[in-house]
Amino acid sequence: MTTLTPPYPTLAIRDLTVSADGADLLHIDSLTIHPGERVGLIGESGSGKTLTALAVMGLLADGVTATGSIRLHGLPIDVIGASERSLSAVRGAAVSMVFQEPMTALNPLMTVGAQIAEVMRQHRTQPSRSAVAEATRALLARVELPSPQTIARSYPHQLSGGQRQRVVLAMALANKPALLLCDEPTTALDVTVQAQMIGLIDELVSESATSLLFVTHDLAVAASLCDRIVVLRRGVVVEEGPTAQVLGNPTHPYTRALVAASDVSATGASPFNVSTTSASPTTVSTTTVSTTSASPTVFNSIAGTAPALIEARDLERLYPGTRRSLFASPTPGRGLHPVSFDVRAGQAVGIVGESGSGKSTLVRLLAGLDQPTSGSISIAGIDLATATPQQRRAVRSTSAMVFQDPASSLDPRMTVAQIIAEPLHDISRAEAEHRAETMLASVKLTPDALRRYPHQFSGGERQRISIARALVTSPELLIADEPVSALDVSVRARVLELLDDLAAEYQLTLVLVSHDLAVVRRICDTVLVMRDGTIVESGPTDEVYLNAQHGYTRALVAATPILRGALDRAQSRAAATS
Amino acid sequence: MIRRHTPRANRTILVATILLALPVLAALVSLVWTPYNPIPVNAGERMLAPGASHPLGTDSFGRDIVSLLMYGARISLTVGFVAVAIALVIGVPVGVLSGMRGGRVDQVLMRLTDVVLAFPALLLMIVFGAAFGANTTSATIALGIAAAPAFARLSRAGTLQVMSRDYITAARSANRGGLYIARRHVLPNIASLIVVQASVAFSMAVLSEAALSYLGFGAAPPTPSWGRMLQEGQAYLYNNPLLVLWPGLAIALTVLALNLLGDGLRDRFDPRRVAQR
Repeated sequence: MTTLTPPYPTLAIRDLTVSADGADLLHIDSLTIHPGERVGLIGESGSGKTLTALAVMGLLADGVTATGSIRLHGLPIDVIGASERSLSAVRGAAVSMVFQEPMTALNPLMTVGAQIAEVMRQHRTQPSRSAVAEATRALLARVELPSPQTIARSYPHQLSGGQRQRVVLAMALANKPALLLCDEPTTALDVTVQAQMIGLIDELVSESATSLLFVTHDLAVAASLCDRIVVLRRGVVVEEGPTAQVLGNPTHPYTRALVAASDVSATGASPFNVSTTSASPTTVSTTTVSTTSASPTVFNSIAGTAPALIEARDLERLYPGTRRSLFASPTPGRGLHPVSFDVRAGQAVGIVGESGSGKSTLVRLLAGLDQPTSGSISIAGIDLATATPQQRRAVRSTSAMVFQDPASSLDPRMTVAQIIAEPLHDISRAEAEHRAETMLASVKLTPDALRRYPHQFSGGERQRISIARALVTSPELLIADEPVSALDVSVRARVLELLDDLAAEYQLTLVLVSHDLAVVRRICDTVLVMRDGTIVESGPTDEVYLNAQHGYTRALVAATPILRGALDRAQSRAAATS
Repeated sequence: MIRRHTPRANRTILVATILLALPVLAALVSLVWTPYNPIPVNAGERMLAPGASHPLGTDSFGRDIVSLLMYGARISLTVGFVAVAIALVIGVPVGVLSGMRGGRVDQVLMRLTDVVLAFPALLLMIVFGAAFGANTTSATIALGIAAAPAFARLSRAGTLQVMSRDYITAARSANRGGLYIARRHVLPNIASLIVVQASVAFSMAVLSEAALSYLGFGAAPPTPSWGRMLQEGQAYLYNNPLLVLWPGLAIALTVLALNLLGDGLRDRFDPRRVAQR
């Protein structure tokens, strides 16, 4: 066993191998984190990032074994081989963890105050009951939650996602750990909330000189927080070094590919975008909400030119019984408040907004899967409200959808051939198979996929199958609901590229919904920005992106992590400290 | 490499099939041949110990136990199969319809299900027996009706889960109707749930038939069934425990085989499980 001499590193991993069923899942020769140091562990799904964090916590699942040594903060025990009893003295005290999904990390039946207090009582870090209560309130205030008294008494479901993650962070910091492990702590959050959360972690960690091991797939997030970056690929460290060096000037081809892929918008405007925007200069104008005019604004209006493919007027969808959280600022109820907009044939329109902005409601209305409460929506000249069942069917066959979650968008019991051919009615089996094969080729999958089942494919491949199914009927309108947000960074760019190419090839009108401005910027010529069920701004993507008129759009643009910006800041930070 | 199926599931199915083959074969053979006639009373050979002429001995009426078990298998298995079939035919469509339609249809169907569920199953069977005659047919129908709510509830829960999936939205936006969705998406995805429930319901039916016969509401007196054998053997439990051991073993083995079969089939027909390990 390696002997360590003071000053002890906060974390010293030596020769760590994690394996299950005889297969090595992860091997790290050496990883050291010094006091106050922040290390970013990046890699794609399956690279072993989370496994590393779990190994450090001594929380590996049954049947997963680890060999080597993991030493914490000069403590006399080695995490590997330590008894559960001695580990539980360390967990939550010397080292603590923030998980990706705050809803599942908290007990729904306990108040958040009680959960924070429990952590301190467990390790007896506070002398008395009242001291625990006092410390709980102080912690909630430290993670910048408003009115800590009230928050402490509320249950997880009464808080928003961002507030919950702050509570989890407060729990993690309760016993002043030497090492804080964060496993994708901001991935489940909205962009603007993510930006606040990262700022908060940054501040708290430097305040308390806690060391940080930050696990993420998002290079920009890692760059904005970490001093050092470790790149994992298939359980092996491929590159490590100072942030500015690894991400600014990567040497390993895999890191280079990751860096290239992480900036989706930087791949440049596609020919498709250029042709459509230049073809109709009349539409190039930015619209924001006009508070003065009496008539409601029609966004992306194409008055006078070619007929709109989609024409929405005062479209409203309200959900009854809107339940609001106790602490939410008085926002209008969820759903969709009257919006009016046009989408012209051949346009690639991006709809951007955070959760609860009404994007999904709008998508359901566009796809004819839901009825508006009031207002009208017409597609290809057919008003969906007054359409006969035949007309509605006709509208549906001119449009198709691609969904967010590749796990739920394909029936696990059907073969790929059956899935792709599903939208084709009344055709022979051989013909269906032939069409499916053709579609597979256009989404760049090989024909041997036909007989296989969805679970045999990766997320990116499943999205391709989903796209193939959507396009098999040669629709005019393709509605893509967060098509890449569940995918790894390196796959994202390729799927977007495919969508872009196919949109040009099939002369599609594309409506792409995303919370990620970069994704929209990559393939859309026009963008609609949504907030609280209304559209706040619309216009050509680049113009909105670079010169946003509405305050919310500006906030959204500013909050979106960008690798280059983060790297510049990392460089200046490093310069300031040295 | 794609493995077709897990060895474990196959082994389970194999064991279950062998175990189940015994009563099924016995029942089939009993149609054409039994060692002795299992119906008439034979006062001269009452309660014989197992021996050369009667491998498992004879019962209190002097009937050969092997012949009784074979004949009884016929009754018990038929009751089980038919009762499960009735439960499936009523329960699954109700559950799927309820889950797919939602709203008022769901409310009405589920409250009806609750009514049947709230009625004690054994009482229902006894009422049926009293109203339509204490015979196997009325017992079977009553068993089927009593088992239907479980299928309805289960199918509804499974259907709700499937309906929330994006592939249903995809099918609907591809103009696929409710029947198509039920047939191609819902049923295949809830099949494994139903298969397991069917195996449980089958064993419940075999046991309930035994209980009913025991109470005198199942197979009419001269007709032997496993349950009736238990009932008749009960009086001699202290003198000759073998009389209840044989039908008891037959019931236990059949139920075990069916439960194993249910487990094995669930694993075997789930493409996701096939890929693992």
